[in-house]
Amino acid sequence: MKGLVLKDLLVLKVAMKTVVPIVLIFGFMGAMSGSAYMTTFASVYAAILPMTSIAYDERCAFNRYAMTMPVKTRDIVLSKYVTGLILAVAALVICIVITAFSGGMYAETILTAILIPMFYHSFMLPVMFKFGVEKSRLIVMVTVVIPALAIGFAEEAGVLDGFITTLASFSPTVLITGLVCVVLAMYIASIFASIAICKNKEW
Amino acid sequence: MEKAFEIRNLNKAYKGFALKNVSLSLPKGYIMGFVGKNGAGKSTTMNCLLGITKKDSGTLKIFDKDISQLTAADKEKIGVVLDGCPFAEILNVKDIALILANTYKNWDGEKFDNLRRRFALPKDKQIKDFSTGMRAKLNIAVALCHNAQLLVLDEATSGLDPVVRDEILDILQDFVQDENNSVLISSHITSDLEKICDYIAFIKDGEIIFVENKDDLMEKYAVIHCTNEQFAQLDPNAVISCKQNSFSTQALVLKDRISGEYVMDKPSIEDIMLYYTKEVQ
Repeated sequence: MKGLVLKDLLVLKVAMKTVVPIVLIFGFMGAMSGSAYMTTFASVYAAILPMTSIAYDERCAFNRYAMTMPVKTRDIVLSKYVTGLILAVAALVICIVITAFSGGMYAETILTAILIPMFYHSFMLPVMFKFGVEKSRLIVMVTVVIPALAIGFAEEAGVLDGFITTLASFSPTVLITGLVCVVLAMYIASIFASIAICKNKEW
Repeated sequence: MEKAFEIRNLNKAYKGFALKNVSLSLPKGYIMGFVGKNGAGKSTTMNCLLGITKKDSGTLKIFDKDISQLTAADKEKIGVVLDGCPFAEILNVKDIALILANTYKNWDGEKFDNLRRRFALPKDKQIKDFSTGMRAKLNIAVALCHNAQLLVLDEATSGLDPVVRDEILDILQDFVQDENNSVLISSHITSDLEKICDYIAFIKDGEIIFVENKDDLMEKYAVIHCTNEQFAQLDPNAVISCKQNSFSTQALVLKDRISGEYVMDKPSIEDIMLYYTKEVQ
């Protein structure tokens, strides 16, 4: 599996040359101007970069070739999650650096720097294994945008007020622990789902 | 004798094409050439053997083990070249060597570097800037550098100039000097196969027409040149197919079914393939 993860990261090394400066510039600019969102810009890239690796794999039919190598299907699947985690941790480190630099203002955003990519990978990766990168883009647009719009409208209409009040009544520690547990559970379920999808896949 | 691989009664159906009871096997230490038209089923057969494509029915064995039982250690011993280059074109040879060194326990970095230099493959150039020939050479170098005992090469020499092809044929002949090593190679360049193959397997429309020792093949068949009248007198069971014009006939025949003196040439593999493909019922 080490070789597979290396492959994914090496494929991204060219992309990194543009991504890392952008992330650092926007991150620091954001910290300076008081924007919490910018400090976790890196985590957005960490979320979407594995898609680039998967797209390259598809284009050159690497996974078909990998069937002839001393590599198990399980390794092919896990390597994508490991790559995603490495990128998520890198985003986390960048976020910590920026936060430290800005006087520790955005401590609460640090956790989201790693949870955002993990959350995204947990539903994206099984979809990509099943349908390939091109179809996945469409599927994700539909499955993310529609519920997001629905939630937005529901909130406007006041439908979610009760739910939000209930959430607010919990202490931040409980909320954060709950969030981490949900994301971890999704992540683990996602790995099992991906392995099951790939077991019978003809690359 | 131990077999490098064994395919028995392989069936695989697609819409409009099917492999029908394909059987072929190769004893260790030899080279088998796999010939057939485009779309005859060479790649499908090889993909089934390698486990890339799932069979409908049949037995597939490598090193006397069913392919579903092959361990990582067994896979280290299989070197493969498929069509296209399986590495992302944004990578360079240095990257690929690093990836493979961390994938194959038996990766021979020194041998790879020597081959790379011999094939004049630049270390730092991206694959997307490689010519077809360079990509083919890279694929072959990769297959040769993890101590494989079976090479499965699907059109590995197409796109290569005669000089490099000759070099690779030499490498393959050296490879089987070790009697544990074997090669299955499919190719349209039948002259290459004639140079190095011990066995020839011919597939047509998903069915194996023959699997023969190459020397026996050359002895068994002949291309006969005769007049149309003489041709009419030949035993029809002797003739595979013929090419006729108003003056004369050329036909591929089974030598032992021809009696009498005729002008007969030794056939090339290309001749056999062409005449078999022309076969008129």
